Amino acid sequence: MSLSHVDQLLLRGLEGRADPNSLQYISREAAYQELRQRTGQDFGYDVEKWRDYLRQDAEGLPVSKRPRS
Amino acid sequence: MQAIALMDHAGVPLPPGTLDDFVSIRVPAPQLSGVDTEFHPWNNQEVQSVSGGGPNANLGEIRLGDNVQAPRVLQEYPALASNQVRLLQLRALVHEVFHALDFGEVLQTTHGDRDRAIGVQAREIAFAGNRAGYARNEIETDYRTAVVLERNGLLFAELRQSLSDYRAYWQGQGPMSKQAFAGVLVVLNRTRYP
Repeated sequence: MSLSHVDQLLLRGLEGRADPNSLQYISREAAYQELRQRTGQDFGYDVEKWRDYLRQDAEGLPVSKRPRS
Repeated sequence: MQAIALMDHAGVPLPPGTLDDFVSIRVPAPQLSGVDTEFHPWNNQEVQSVSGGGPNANLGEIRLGDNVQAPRVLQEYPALASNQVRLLQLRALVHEVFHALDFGEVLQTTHGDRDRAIGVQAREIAFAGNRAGYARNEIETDYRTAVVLERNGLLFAELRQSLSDYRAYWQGQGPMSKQAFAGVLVVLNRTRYP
């Protein structure tokens, strides 16, 4: 299951890969805050943990089987 | 070049000259974390290095990322013929060319000040600065892309589906209303519609 467009852009921001000139830019801090707010989870700046969580979320795993921060 | 020819045939007003005159295209080196497709407008500092500060610097660079590579397209649509893969790649390119042309029009309002133009876009239609504007702009940009492809007789089932999915996704993200976006288009000085 691929990630949604917004999730991809947030992860890219969290990685610090977002291009500041582009329309898709988001800072690391803003991406982190939005991920926390959207999911109720907190994996800090660990991009892989966030990616794993979002992938499982996209696959529709029940909340009880999702990793906890 | 093919993207420009299709846009011209579809009635998109294009600036004079060649593609390179208004935008560069590059395929960045692969990265473990992936490469995204996007238009990168030159800022004031970058434009010095790409043109020596001359008046003929182009608008920026379209970076072709993983999502336009044939294996990735085939991963999503395994039954596509090679010419259909190329059309999905062209769809992405036309979309990015619209972003480049649109930036050129903002740049006119800032009298060539690229940093200010980037700032205007950040305020009105950027992912971080104005999510509703970003969502509406993505819908509009892909709609214009669909019109270009349709007027060239290039749409087929999977491509229609891809366009429809993209529109539906951003419709679900709370886009700015069309009425409100009309005011944004005035600020952005946008005229590049087919």
